[in-house]
Amino acid sequence: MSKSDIYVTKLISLLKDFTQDWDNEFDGEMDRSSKLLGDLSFESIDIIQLIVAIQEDIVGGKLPFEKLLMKDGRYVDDLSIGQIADFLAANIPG
Amino acid sequence: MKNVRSPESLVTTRPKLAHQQFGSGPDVVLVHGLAANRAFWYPLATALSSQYRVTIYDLRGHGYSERPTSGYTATDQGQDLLHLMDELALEEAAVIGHSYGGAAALEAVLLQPQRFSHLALMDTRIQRLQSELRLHDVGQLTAFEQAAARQDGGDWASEPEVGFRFLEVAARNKVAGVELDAGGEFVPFGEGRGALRAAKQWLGLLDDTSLRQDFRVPGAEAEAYAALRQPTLLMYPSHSRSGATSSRLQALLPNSRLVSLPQAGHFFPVTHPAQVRAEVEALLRSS
Repeated sequence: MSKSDIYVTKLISLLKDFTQDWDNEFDGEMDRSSKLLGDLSFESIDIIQLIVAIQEDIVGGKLPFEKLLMKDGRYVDDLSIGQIADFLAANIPG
Repeated sequence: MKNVRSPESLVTTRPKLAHQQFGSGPDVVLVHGLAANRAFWYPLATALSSQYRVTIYDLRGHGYSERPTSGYTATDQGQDLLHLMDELALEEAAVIGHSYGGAAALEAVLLQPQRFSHLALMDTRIQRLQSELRLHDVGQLTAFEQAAARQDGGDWASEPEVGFRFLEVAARNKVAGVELDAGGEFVPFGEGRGALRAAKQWLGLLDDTSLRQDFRVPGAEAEAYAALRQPTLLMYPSHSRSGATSSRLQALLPNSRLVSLPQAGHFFPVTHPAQVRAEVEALLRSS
């Protein structure tokens, strides 16, 4: 299992907890390709709050998530679980 | 911090406000407007974080902050800002507010002026200076507003707060599954499927709290503004519906500078991020 795949597993576990109280239409299984806005009904505020949770529960510190979330001063259109996992794999040492 | 939007707060003490900080340096606090949340300011916050410590937070009842049933006047929310600064040990900060967030920021500065180095108000209407926004004040309706008014069909001519009413109509349509043509412009509750939760959150605030009444309560007397010495940026679209506020603020605030943004709408910090960043950075460099 690659480092990124390990983070996918951790992210899915975190996301299940994060969205458990939402009235969510998504009834499939989350995987690497699942998109936060398109599949999981996230909004920008939920992504920002998720990053707080990722930093607390997975990273144990801050990472430059703005590089993942922003492009040319604006939000990217969407983010997949795999993109976040790849970002974590590239930015967390070890 | 619970991962639930606007958890109910039955306590009468000050609600917990969801917040984040970025960067290091002199402090800057960004305050969003009604029916928005701290994500509104995330792009500017991260852009400024190379030189400043930037704090963004959700107003009470918004985003991931707690939702008490009362305490939504601009003065209440100015006090919330001061308490958050206490909690985060921010002795002095620059404060930048959009729309109603600017009204809250102004009240905080009036309450404790020594704690604020700079002030920026972005298309903010101040109830004390401009107590109504009627249809005939609005000028041209946006495509979205025209669609909302047509769909709603109510008596808009006697409505004293048309902007507020548009927000409510937009939210009720979203919850009812009615899609209105926005003509490509930025609209509240227009952001994908997740916006349904944002619309429900706003209606919860309107239906279950005193926000609707509190919104119209004026803050400090206008005579107090003359005592403010902070460099102040007043940034307004050239066809702002808060034009009466901006001209009076310019006259009343001794160290203010008015920037008029052509061809921009109320949500220009989202649609014109480069201009906003440049003006804010110029403000923060001034003394």
